Amino acid sequence: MKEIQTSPVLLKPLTNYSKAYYAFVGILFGIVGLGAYAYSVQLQDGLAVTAMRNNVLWGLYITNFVFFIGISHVGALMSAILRLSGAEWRKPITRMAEAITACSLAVGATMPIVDLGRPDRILNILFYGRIQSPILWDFISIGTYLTGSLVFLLLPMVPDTALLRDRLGGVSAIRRRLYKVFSFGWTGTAYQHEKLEKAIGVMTVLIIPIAISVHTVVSWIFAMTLRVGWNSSVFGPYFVAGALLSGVASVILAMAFFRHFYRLDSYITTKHFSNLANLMLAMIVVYVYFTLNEYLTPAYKWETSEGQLLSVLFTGDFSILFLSVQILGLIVPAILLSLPRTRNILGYSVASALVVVGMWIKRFLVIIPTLARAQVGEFWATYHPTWVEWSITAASIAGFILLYAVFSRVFPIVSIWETEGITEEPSDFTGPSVTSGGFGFSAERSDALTRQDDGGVDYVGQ
Amino acid sequence: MLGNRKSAVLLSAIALLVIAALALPVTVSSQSAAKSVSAAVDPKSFTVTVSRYGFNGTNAPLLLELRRGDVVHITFVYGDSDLPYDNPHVIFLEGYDLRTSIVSKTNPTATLDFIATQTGTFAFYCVIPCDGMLNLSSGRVVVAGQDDTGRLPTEIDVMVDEASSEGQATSFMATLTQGGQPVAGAQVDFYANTTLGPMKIGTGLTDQNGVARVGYTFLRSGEWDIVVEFVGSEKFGPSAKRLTVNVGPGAREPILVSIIPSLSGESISTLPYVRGQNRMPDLRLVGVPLAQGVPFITMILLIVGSVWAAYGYVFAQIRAIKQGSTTEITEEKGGGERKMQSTPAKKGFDKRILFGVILLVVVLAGVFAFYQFGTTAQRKTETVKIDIKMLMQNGGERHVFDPATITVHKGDHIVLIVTNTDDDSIHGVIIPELNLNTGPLTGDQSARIEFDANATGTYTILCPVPGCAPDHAQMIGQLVVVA
Amino acid sequence: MKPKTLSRRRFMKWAASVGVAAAGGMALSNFAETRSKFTAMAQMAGGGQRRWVMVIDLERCNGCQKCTQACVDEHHIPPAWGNPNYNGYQEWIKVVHTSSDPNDAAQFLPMPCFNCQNAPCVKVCPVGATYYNDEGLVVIDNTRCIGCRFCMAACPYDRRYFNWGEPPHTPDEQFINYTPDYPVPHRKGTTEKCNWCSHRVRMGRLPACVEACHKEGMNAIFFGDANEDAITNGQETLVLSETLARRSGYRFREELGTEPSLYYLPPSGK
Repeated sequence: MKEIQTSPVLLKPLTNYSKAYYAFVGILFGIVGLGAYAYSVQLQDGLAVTAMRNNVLWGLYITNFVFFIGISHVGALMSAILRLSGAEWRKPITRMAEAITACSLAVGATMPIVDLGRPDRILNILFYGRIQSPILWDFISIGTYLTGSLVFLLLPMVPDTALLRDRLGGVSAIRRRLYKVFSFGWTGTAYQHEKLEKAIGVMTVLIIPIAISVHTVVSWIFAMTLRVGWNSSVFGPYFVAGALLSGVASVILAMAFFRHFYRLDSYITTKHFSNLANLMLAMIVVYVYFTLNEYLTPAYKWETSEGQLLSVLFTGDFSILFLSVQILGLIVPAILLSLPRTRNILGYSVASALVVVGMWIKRFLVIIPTLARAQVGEFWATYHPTWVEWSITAASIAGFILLYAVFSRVFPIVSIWETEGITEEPSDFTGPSVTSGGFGFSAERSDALTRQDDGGVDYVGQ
Repeated sequence: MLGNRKSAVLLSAIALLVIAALALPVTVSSQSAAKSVSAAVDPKSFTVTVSRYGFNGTNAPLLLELRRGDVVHITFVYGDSDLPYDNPHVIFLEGYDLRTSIVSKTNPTATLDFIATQTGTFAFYCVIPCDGMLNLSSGRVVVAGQDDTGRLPTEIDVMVDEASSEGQATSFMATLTQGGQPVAGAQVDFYANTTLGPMKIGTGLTDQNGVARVGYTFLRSGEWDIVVEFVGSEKFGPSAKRLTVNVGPGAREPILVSIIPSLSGESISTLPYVRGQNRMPDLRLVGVPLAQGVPFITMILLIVGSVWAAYGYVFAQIRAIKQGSTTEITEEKGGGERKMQSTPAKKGFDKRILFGVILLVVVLAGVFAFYQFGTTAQRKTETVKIDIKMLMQNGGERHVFDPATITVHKGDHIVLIVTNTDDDSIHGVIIPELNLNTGPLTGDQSARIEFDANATGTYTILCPVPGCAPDHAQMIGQLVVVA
Repeated sequence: MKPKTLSRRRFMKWAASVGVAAAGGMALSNFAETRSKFTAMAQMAGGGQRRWVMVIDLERCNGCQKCTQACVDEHHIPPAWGNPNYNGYQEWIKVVHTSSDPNDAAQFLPMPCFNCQNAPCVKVCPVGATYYNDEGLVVIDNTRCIGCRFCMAACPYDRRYFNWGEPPHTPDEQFINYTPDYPVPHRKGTTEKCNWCSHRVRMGRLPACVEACHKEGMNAIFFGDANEDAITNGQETLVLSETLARRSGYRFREELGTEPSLYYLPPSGK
């Protein structure tokens, strides 16, 4: 039995649960509980407890759905694209990104079910599903992506899970069993490495088109109708660009959070932030480009019905939201990311937070104004979400954070084997614990790191 | 060897048969109501059944021809007793402004009694909302003959001038005569009787030969009833005639609906459907032309299928990791050697997955193709007669359904004709699970029930008249619907 | 060298393939369910197939809304839960007041469901709860509807209504067998709309709105069959093609390509 020559920083969150953490989780559970109660009220009294009515027939639930599915694209972007392009610096942050994907997909997939009028008949989609319907495409696409992203999360974690299985002390039997199951019998042989490489390689290539297709078919829920504002051919790439943007922003926020609270300064450096900030800036530019396309073309023509919609967005009831999204949600973050004075972690975090909130409001603005415009007769419906909808929205966000936080406490949020080159040793090896393989297990760590034990903490396995 | 008498009987029978066959209408038939030559004192009686199918069981226009001065007695009889609920009617005669009392299940007859003082054509129809109201909208009373102004009685005849098929123009010719002489310059109205009521399709003026022509394009094939009417003028009295025309089916393109509608321009209005079946075929994926639909669906199946097949490959790698930990421990001797050992397993594995994916796609494509292009059984209308009989058995009376078990096929349209052959009791047929009930039938009375056998199963046939006979509870039959 | 568990793996793969094929087969069996009923021509009096149309004469409509009232009475229509409504009920046939200017020709536009031949609502339903029945009318099966409201988002005419809460039930509803043609009793969490009184049409009667308009004396709503080329308002039967040509019949928002079956006859001016 050998001692783990790895930084305790990465493993400390897995065993040291502070009071603050318990309080945090407790609050999140409380919010989720409130949401569950609100949903029970909705189940009993029907969707009449929401503010949705015949005109604004989709509201906060679908907004949350699109928002969470949007955020989920970050796993494909970060992990897959950066892996493919061989960017070595991505290694400490890939797992954060992949975990965001998995958690947000899990939460996002529940939102349409909450929105259903008859959730007891959800299985009708399986029994009577019509492949001509965009909702079926959603179902297939999101199901495929969920499966893929879970695999994509668990696979690169296998060596770390094996490490935890063997060496992590002070954990419950259930957790140990969990590690055992998800380590897939990993012992670090060359054969296993080869298999792992192959699997990760396939998933890397596969996950990108799947992710793109997911948000494209989600956008087609709107674009396949004849409604003013939705009857646009650019919705597919528009939504994908927005998804990538909100995803990158959420990763930056996660990075900032973990760097601060888990003391991961040596792993998540300013270089990482800088790179991601540049990426986010590029995505903002792309998104602004698409926004221009989406609004300038109808504004130029000012066709009657489109003009009515544009009026409420530019100067009417929704103008405040619309302008704040464009300015505070896109322009200001772009500025923050460009100016040298604000190009620091705080600046990046503020910019990311603005972008994330802005993208949520943007989804709201895609859905509600179009629905509020009555297609027959000249009137505009109003929509003021009720406590049920707000509670469930809050619960979805809390649930996402909860899943993510618990994940980061059960599995190391920074990939150990990829960043330090430490893996489980095969039993017949006595030499240094290095294996060759396709992913370049370079012992990449910053100079500030020392490899001594952290004052008496012993991780000898039991 | 036949005797003379026998052969004479045989010959006359054959002759009768031949004559009857020749007399059967072929394509075009004309019909007129019987004329009565009785004196004005004897009432002219008509009996007309009123049901949801129309007057006398059909929605064809019913012409009752009278002469001025006739004493008329029309009896309307309720014909909807096969319905489990009441379907009352009230018949109204225009011109004379006469209205019957309610004709219903509880009040099965009502009469119109009047003297035909006015000449002309007067419509009669059902005026209260009822099932089949549209079928009961084209009754006509035609009163002809001399009136106070001394108008001469006329006769009108109508024929198809140029027959044709649906979608093409058909031409009608009406000839108006008075005492054998043509009437010129008269306005003749042509009506087509539709299931939505009598519809005027044209008006023509008779020429010097008394002939008026009108053209009309029928948009559906089948039997059409045409009525021509001359409302009369200063000099001439009114007359009307009915003609049944058979419009042939038009040339039809095979109906193909594109999966992407705009590519074919088809819509649901061109798809044939079956009345009585609940749901039309799901548009856009039925009868898909090979060039459009199959590649599209196959492409979707291939893409989604290949993604999941790739997942399968990944799962296989995970499995290999699990197995590899106990068996495959390789020394790191040299990259080349290791590769040689792992390559054969890899190759064999890939082939199996590829084979599996191809087979899956072929199976799914086959299923899809079968449902798109496979032929389906022809559904038909089946008529079954059920007789309610009284048999003498074991020294007592036994009342039975004959046949006791009826087997029909799912999807067929079934017509049950129930006859109560027992003169002494009142019976009927009720099939509770299908909500069918003939109601009580007296001796020798028949009822007709129509329904669609939509679901397989065995349904019980019972008698709905409690206490009809001592063995009422033993009157049980079975209706079996098989696939 | 083959790992010895290959056969088991292969079996599991075959099992997975079969499972996927079964799921795919289930989805495709919808085509079977409808395809097996796809047979010969319809039988109606006289033979041939139906294509129901409605024609509304805007010259005669005076906005009295008796059609809406008759529809409400006929179907025990549920409340509207605060949307634009008729006396609190859903308006399956909605009389839109297009203009208050008395010099404007067409002031009232009765709008039932348009029964589109290229209906967007039928296209997008994920479970096939909205479909064309054998009368060619768009109906909703409220026992299958999952309440996703996609059909409502897709309808460009706002002609669908949702039961946001539990609709009130009257005692006599208990004796009514639910069918999509006559969607009574109504169900919470499902979508409803006018279906041209499919239950009446099967029985040879006119829809409730047509009868009500006829009873009221306006006779503005015509109902008929495009294949028989005949429409009737309960009072007179007209030739459809000739009426549309003579009165310049048009369809609402024809450019959307939904091919509605409802035509309007513009008024000839006041």
